[in-house]
Amino acid sequence: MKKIILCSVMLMLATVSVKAIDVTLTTDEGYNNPVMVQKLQNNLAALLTEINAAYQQKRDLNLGNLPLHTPKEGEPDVKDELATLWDMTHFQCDDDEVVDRLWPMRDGTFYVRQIPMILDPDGEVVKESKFQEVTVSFDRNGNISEFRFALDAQVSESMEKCGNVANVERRTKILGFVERFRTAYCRKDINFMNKIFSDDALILTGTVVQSRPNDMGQSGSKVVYNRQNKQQYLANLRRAFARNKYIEVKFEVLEGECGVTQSQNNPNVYGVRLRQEWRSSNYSDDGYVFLLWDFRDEENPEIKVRTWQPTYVGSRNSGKKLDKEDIFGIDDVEEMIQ
Amino acid sequence: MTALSQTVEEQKKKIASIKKSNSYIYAEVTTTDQQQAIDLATDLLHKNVNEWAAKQKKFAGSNKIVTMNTNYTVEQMTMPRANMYRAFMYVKKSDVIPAENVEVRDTPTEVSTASTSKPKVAKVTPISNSNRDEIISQLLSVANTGQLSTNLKELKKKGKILEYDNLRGLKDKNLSEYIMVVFNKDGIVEAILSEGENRINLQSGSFDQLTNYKGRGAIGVKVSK
Repeated sequence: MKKIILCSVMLMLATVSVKAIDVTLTTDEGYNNPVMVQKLQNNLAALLTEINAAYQQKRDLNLGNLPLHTPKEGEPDVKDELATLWDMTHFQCDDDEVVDRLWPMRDGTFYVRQIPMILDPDGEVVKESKFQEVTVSFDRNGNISEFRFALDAQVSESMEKCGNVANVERRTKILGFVERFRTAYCRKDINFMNKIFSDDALILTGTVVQSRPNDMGQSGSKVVYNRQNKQQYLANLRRAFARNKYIEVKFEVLEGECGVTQSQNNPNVYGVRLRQEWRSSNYSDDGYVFLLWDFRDEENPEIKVRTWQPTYVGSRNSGKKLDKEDIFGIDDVEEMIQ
Repeated sequence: MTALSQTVEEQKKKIASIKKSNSYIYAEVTTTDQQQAIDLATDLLHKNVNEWAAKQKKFAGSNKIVTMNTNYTVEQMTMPRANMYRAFMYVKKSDVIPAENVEVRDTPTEVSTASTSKPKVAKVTPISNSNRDEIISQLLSVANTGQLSTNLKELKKKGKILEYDNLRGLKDKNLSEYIMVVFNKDGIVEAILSEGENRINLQSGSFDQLTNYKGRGAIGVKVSK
C-alpha cells in the first residue's frame, strides 16, 4: 500500500503573489519514513514555486534560500545547473498540484522523474511552447542535488525493459547519466563533457561523401569516418556551443531495441545505442549515436567511445537510410579499442 | 462527469486524485504522438498491474489473473502540455481479480479522450501459474538470443521447462503448446507470444501471431506443468 502524505507549502512571496505548488510524493509499500517524505515534498514544492514565481515575474531564479545540496569537490552544483538552464530557456511547472512517485535509492538518495514543465517560447530559442519532464534528485538529507531534463518516455520505458542487461539500480544509474549527458548539451556544459569523456576516449563521426559522377552522370554516396580524440572533440564542441544560442538534443531508441547492451568482456561496461536529433540555432542533423559507458567507478562513469553516424546515406530526399547492421554496436566498438 | 464535459483543469484534478489514491494502479506518459503515448502508457499499465499482482498474496497459486473493467482515460491537452499528448491510464485494484482456467479473450484497447469516453472496457491479461510466471518474467527480460540460450539452458536444468527448440525441431509437435520467442536476424528478441491458437503478445498484451513475424526466427518453449 502506498503511503501518501500531502504537503501544501504556501510560500509568501515578496512581490507578486504566485500560486504555491502542492507536491505529493507516493512511495511503495516498505518505505516508511514519513518525516523524510514530508521534507522532500516541502523542498520540491519550494523549488517549483520559486521557478514559477521567477517565470511569471520574468526574473532570475532566487536560489539563495532554497534547500539545495552543497556539493563536495567534484560533485555537480545544482545551483549552477539551474542557473545555466535558466539562462538558456525559462520554464514553469505545468501543474499546480504535482503528484509523483518517489524512488528511494539504496545509497540513501532519492529521485522523482516526472515533473511536468513547459519551456518558454521566446520566439528565437524555443519557437513554440514545449513540454519537458524533469528529473529531480535529492541527497540523503533531503536537499535537492540535481535538476535535469528527463529522457523521453519512449527511451526511459525501453531502457527499463532491458531486464537482465543490468539490475534495476544500475539501469537507473545508466538512465540518469544519459539524461545528464543530454542535459549537458542543452546547458552547453563543457565541464561536464570534459569530465564524462575518458581521457583516452575514441570519437568517431560519420560523414556522407558523394563520389564524382561517372561517365553516365551517376554518382554514389558513402559514409566516411573522422576519428577524433577527446581534446579535438571538446574543441569542436566548444565552437558549437559558442556558435549556437540554443542546442536541443533528443534521443530515441531504435525499433526493437531496449537501448542498452552489456559487454561480454566486462560486466561493468555498457553500450547505449540511440537515435539522436540535434537541433540548434544554425545547424540540425539526425543520426545514430553509440556510447560505450564504463561503470567500473559507479559514481563517476566515463564514456570510452562515442560514435555518430548519419541516418541517411546521401540526401534525405534519396530516402536511403543507413542499414541497421551498419550501425555501430557494442561488439564493433569493443573490437576497436582492444 | 464525462471526459467530454471536463475542462483540462478538472481532468488534471481527477488524475491527481487517482494518483494519490491507494485504490488505483496507473500509468502516465506524455509524448509528441498521441498513439505512441497511448501505447506506451498501456504497456506501462500492464507492467504495473503485473508487478502489483505479483506482490499480492491472494494471487499466490492462482493460474491466471484477469484484469477486468480497466478504465483507460487519455487526456489530450495541446495547451497545457504544449504540443504534446498526455496519456493517463488507470485500473482499480479491486477490479484486478484472480481466476482459474479463464478462457483468454482479448478486446481491443479502447480509450477515452478529451472528446470521447469509453470506460469499463473488459480486458483480459493472462499471467498463469507461478512457474509459468517466473519463466515468462525471465523471458521478458531477455534482449537477445545469447541471453535466451543461457536462460533456457538454466530453466531446462532446473526442470522448469520441458523442452525448447527452433521451429524446424518442432515440426511434428503441437505448436500451440509452446511459448514462442521471436527474434530477428541480428538475434534481437522482437516478441514473446503466449501458447494457444490465438496467441497473446506478452509484452503488449494484444493479440499477435507468428505469421506477423515473417523472416524472423523463433524458439518454442514448453513450460513444465
